[in-house]
Amino acid sequence: MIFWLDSMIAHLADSEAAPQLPRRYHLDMVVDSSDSPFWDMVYQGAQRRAEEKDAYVELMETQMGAPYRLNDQLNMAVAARVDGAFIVPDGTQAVAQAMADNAQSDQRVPLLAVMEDVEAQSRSGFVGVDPEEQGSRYGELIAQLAQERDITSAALLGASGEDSFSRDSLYESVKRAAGDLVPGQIMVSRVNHASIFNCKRDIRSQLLSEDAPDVLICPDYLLTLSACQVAVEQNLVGKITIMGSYASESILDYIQKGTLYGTVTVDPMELGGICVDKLIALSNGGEAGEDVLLELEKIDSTNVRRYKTLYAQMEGRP
Amino acid sequence: MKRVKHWWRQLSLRAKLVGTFLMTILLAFSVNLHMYQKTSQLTSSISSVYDSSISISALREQLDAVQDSLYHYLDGDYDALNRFYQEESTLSRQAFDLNGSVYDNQLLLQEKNIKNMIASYLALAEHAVGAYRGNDVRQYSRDYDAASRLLGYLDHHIQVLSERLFDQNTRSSQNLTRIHQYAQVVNLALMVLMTLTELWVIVVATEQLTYPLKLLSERTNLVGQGQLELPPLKVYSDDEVGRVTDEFNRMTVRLKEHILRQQEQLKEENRLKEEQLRLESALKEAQLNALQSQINPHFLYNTLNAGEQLALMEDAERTCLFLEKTSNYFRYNLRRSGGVVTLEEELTQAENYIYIMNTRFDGEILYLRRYDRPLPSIRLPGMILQPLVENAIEHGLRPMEEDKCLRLTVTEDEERVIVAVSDNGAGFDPQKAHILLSSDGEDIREEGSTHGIGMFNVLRRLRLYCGRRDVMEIGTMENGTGTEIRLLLPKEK
Repeated sequence: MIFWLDSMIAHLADSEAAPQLPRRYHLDMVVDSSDSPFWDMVYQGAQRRAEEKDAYVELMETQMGAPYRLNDQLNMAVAARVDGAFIVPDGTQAVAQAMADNAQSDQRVPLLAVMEDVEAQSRSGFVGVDPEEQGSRYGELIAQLAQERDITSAALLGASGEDSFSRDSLYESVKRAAGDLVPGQIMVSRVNHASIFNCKRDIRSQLLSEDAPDVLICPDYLLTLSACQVAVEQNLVGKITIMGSYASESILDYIQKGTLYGTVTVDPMELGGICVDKLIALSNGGEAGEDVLLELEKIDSTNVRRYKTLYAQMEGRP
Repeated sequence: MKRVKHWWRQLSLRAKLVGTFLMTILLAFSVNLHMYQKTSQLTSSISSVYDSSISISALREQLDAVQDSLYHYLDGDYDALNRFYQEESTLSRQAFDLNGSVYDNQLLLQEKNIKNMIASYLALAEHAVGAYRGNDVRQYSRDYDAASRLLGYLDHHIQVLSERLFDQNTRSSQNLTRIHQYAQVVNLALMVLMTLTELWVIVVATEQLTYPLKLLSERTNLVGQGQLELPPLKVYSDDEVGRVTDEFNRMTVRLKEHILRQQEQLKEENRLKEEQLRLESALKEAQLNALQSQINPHFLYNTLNAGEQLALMEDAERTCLFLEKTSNYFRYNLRRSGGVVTLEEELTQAENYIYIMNTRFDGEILYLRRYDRPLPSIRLPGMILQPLVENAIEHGLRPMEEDKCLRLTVTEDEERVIVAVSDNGAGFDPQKAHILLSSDGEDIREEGSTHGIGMFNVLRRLRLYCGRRDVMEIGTMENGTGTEIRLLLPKEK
């Protein structure tokens, strides 16, 4: 009986203590919008795979407890000598410099660029999408839309000050895929990407201007979410066609309601898992190997229900 | 369980008592020890809850000290170099205690980050010092900037970790306090449980130990009251009490047998005693009858001679008195024949005889009475004194021609009444006196002397009556002449 009471107290003590299982690999995920549902799912996918591979993925942004710039987060991860990190470059010079510094450092940390590529010397590998393929997908969506109504102009949104090879490739690809379907010009519109407030302000400004495009192509999650919110707030649903990127419950809801025409996305859980696999391989001295290009999926009103069910399952919801 | 019971039965009483005490003491000791250990553990845990926060805070101060010394050195203060190395060494020691392994725990992971970042920072700082020494201004500036930036990161990390540790420690402290409260309840429950267990053990052990004793005590009382027809007591153990109970059962059986034997023996003894008493009584009666039957014819003969002489002398008044005395004499004889009489009656009878004999011898016997009434109230067989008086007259005084003197004396001491019959006659042969007093009567009978037979009859009857041998003394009077026979009669109690 004494031992039973003791074990009860010990159980109480243990139940209050945080778990602390030893792991072999310490990986970092460096992203400046980790609170977005998409990146949250990427993190879940990474963590799930990490558990299988005796690793732990640290979300540096969360670990810091305060908003830090992406390059600072990366510098911290490198200084902390983690076994590997994957970063979603924001296209800024500071991040590129930080990645280049790490690449030149004696204690180089294996670094993966995710979704947005940088110079090959600055990173150990790339996991993301092929801009050509992404552009083709948007071209398919535009072609699909063109069968429904006339399209006069389209705009590809991009972050102001961003210097991204991927974005340029995407633009070219979209033009190739849908240039013939759009009589007017397919232009690139720059918006302030610092926050959703800035994004919405710039998008609202564009959509309410006289030369507002018929189709708005949003190649990242923040832009997609901002554009949908502006369309709802400004009562532009039906008047403007938004094509987004990535998928989350809210984005799928927007598709169901017709606010968003369609989205081009990858499987976030798979993305996270692949990053972990690649980093562990690099940490063990393996070769970087070829870049991993994920298969893109196109979600629109025809298949949104299936994806909703799928995402609910991934998130563990009923 | 059966084995344990058997083993317990085999133990001695002392071992059982010691075992019981030891068990309760050990139980109390172990529970107290356990409670002490748990309380100590909890107290230690509570007091060390904030240790981690304190050590993390100390890191920040040490980092500042290293940075300060580095700055001063790079600013041209060469003395700061020693301080830099000292502070760097201290920081390394402090950082050494931090976690360096990977855990799926944010706090531990952050500790690891800080540890590694400190290492990176120190590497940069040392690199900056090296570059400064090598006058590589650009390099040390870049290293110093990088170190400063890293220090900023570290500062933030340490602050965050410190806050998180504080939160965690606060939760831990609250949790430990809660556990401490649980532990107090558990300790109290343990104490109650322990007390109840000990009470149970003591009550059960005491009952087991004393129950056979109680039964034995009750049975002892019953046996003491004489109840021997009871079944034997059950023996519950092989200890001292068991052995005593077993022995008591056997003793009770032996006692019962012994009492039965005693009763039978007593019955036999009583029967024998009654038989012996009857025999003795019959013997005494037969002896008395025999003696008295020897006396009466002899006396009657002498009396008749006296009556013949009296008639010849024709003296009427004296004849009357004489006949009265004679009459009393015969009456006494008839009435008291073989019975027990008082000393006074016996003396009166003896004096009657003396009167009769003095009448016979014409008053030539001087009779001296040396006693006063009331006489001691003792009893003795009848016809004791008269034969002695008769012997004194017949064998002591009769041969004398003149100055015949006869004396009866009664004296007493603490234990005895002494009746003496004295005469100043021819005296008693000492050898004959010795034979008379020491013989069983056969010598007297062989001699055929009536004198001896009468004396022996008196002696024997007195011995039988008093139950002792020293009842008679034969000697001379005070002046050494004559005979004095003293009867030593024990006083009645």
